[in-house]
Formats: sequence, C-alpha cells, structure tokens
Amino acid sequence: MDNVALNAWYPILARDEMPPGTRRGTTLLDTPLLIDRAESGAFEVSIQDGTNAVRGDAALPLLERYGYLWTTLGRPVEDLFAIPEYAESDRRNMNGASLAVRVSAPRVVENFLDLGHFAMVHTGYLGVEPHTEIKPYKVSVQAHEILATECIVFQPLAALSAKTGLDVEYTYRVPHPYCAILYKSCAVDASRRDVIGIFVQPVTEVSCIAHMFLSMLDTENSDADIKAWQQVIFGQDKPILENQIPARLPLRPTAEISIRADATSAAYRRWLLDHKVRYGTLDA
Amino acid sequence: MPEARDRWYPIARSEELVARHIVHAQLLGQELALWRDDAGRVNAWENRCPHRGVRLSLGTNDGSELRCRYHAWRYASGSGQCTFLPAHPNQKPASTIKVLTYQVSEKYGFVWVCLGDVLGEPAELHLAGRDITTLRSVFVDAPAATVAAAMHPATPSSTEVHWLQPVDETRTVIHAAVLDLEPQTDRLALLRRQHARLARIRDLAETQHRHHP
Repeated sequence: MDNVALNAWYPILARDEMPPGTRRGTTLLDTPLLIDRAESGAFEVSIQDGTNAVRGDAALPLLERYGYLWTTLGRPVEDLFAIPEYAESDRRNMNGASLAVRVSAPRVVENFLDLGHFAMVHTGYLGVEPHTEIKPYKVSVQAHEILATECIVFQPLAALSAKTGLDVEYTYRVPHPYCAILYKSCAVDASRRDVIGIFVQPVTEVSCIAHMFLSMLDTENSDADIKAWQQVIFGQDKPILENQIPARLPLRPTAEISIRADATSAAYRRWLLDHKVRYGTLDA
Repeated sequence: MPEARDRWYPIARSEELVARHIVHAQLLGQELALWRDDAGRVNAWENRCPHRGVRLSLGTNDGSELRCRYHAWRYASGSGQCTFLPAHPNQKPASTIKVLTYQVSEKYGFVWVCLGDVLGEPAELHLAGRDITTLRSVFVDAPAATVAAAMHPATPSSTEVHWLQPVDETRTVIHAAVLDLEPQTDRLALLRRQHARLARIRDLAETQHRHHP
C-alpha cells in the first residue's frame, strides 16, 4: 500500500450511532477492525484476527472529530484537517448517513466534486434543465489542499431552508485523499455558508463507506428532515457510482475525457498522481 | 483467443431491440450497449461513456442519439460521435469525444456483432431463402466449449439451427431458430418442445461445468 493511504486518518464510525457498552466490526483498507465502546463512552479500536478476537497488539490510535471516530493503520505525520465552522455555537452538526457503496473511495470523492450532473441526477433539487451550463471557475492547490471557488449553479431547491430557486455559489476543498468538503451559500444568512463533507472510509480498493458530514445553519427543520434530504441526494448518486467502469479511479490523463467543467476533478486526479496514491486508483 | 474476435457472433434477437430501449449485452467479456434508432439502424457500442466510465446501458435512447445517465452527453447513432455537452451548450464537442463502436449486422432474425475485424456480413448460406422462426435464447452458466459438447451427439437437423454466443469465460447464450415452419403447425407446442430441448442442453452443460470446471 502506498504511504499516503497508509498514514492517513480515516473515519470509521459516526460516534453517536454506537451505544456505550457495545462492540462492532468494520473494515478499513482490507483490514478487519473491532470497535469497542465501554460503558463510560470511551472507544477502543483494534485489528481483528480471524477468530473474532483482538490481536495482541496495542489498540490503534484514535481521534474523535466532527462527530466521527477516526483511526489510522500507519503513522500520520500531520493532524487531521481543520473545520473551524464546526465549533460555531449555532451550527447544526450531524452525520447525514454512513452509506456503503460498491465503488472505490476516489470515485465517490470525485462525484462529490462534480457540478455537471446536478440537472440530470438531482433534477429538481440541485439543478434543473435547461440550466446545465457550468461557467468557468477557479481551481488551485494551496498547502496540499485543492480549492475550487466561484462555482456557480442555479438550483431550484438548494437546501431544505431555501424557499425558491437561487444562483448558488459553491466552494470545494479537498484536504485529504478520500475526503472533500463543500461550502455553499446559505439561504438563511447570505454572509455565512453551510458546510457539507464527504468523509470516505475505503473498505477495499473497490468498495467504501461514505460518511456524510453536515454543519448547517438551519433554524427550521429537524435533524431527521435534514438527514433525509441528504440521503435522497446521495441515493440518486449511488446507482451511478456503482456503474462506473473501472471501479478504481484512472489517473492517466488520457484514460477518460475531461472538459473545462471538470477542472476540480482533473486537479484531484493530478493531485492523487503527484502524491502517488495507489489505493483505489489505477496507473498511479 | 485473439482470432475469436475477428468473426460474427449473434448477441440478441432482432425483436429484443425495441424502439427507445437499450439492451445490455456481453460478448467475450466485453460489455455492450445495443440500441436501435428510429430509422431502424442498430448500434453496438462499448458499454462505457468515455467521460467518467458510466455504463451507457443506463442511459436514454431518444431515437437518434444515446444520452449518458450521468452528465447527459449525447452520442449520434452510427458514428458514436458526441454531439452535445450540456455543461458547455454553446460549444461543439471535440471530435475526439466518441464512444467505441463495433461492427454490427442484422440478419436471419438476429443482431450480430464482431469485436475485431471481419469483411462482409454474416453468411449463413444454408439459411438463404429459408423461412426463419427465432426461438427464445437460453442463457447457460457454462463455457461455450462445454455447451457445444452438451449439444453432441444430437442428430443434425435440417430444420433446427443454433449458434453459441460466448458471454465470457464461464457463460454462454444459445441462440436458436426453426426453419420453414408449416403454417398449420401447432406453433405453441413446437416452441415448447424446442425450448425444452434447449433447457436440457443447458442443464447438462451446467452440471458438467459444476463438476468439472
């Protein structure tokens, strides 16, 4: 496995979804893990051996951030990326859902970054015909993070808190090979932004679990309604993701065709190639 | 076997390619999207949009173009050339944006595909001038060689014909037809008998494959 994938932090659980005093398994980078939550609420994660018992090794390093449990199979050289908005007192922070997808983690991240499919896949929600044009936007790499700004889309119903269609401005940030964050202009307060993240747990090279992080400024709708709306959107992407061939993301620039609207995705593939990320990719 | 690609194989009955539909097929491991335009022309394309690799069989056949499910890129019948990019509606797509197309022919009640290179049309000369009634194709979970062996030592018939479509290394479709059906024949009874015959071949081949893979 490449060093970048090995030494990263990975989300493996939405913390509130596991009651204290329980145990569950999950898989990360082809490695079966056991998660134990004590009655006190404290977590312990270990690599599972074939008999369902815990290996003799020490428990894996853990972080609790943004409502998730993060672990690593390597030795991260840096702390996990920061999301300052999470700490704002009026934020509605929650896990939209943790959904399994039969495709590589990079394909899921790239779909999250993609603007061109809104009118076709999320019809009536994030886009609508004939407003399919994607005007040029800005993409740069700053401090190892990809940033795409001034992405404008017309959305008929951009968020549950919106009442009419609006021109919405998106900013995308990729701070991790398998995580992406979206900042979108908020219907409730034009000076601030809703934050939506996709934190992907690679299970195998061709399957993953997408944890959908939400940090919303919504004063009206319940948690359940906000989550349900995100699940509708992701449910529309899932069948397309599971029908992409190959399942791994091809990094050779000529393997698939990119157009100007795909600037963020082209930058993401170049970034993975430059950092030699091989897990879930081809031709790295 | 590279030479196995340079010949025609039947991959569907003509009647399966209904208007505005896309058939998902597979030949020698290659996935195909088959569709008929409103003028009747048949297309056999690689089942993969060159943009982000989504299966074209999930898309829409609007009668003259195939639209991909993901970004609604449009591809022209015949050439497979991309004609429209919704993200850049005022631009003509570069001529390099094109779906991989395969040689396709429609004859004897079937749609035939060649993945490599072949000259001319499928030439089943013994069918010239005969009346052909195609049967329901039978899908077999066994390699083509095993299916062929299961068909021996059936006595050759002058009115029953069949072809094998190797789907991939372990799966095969048997396409079959009956020739010169008499008008007064109990058609339903005959079709049932023929299908039972093919089903027996299928069961024999699958059993053989399971025990001697």
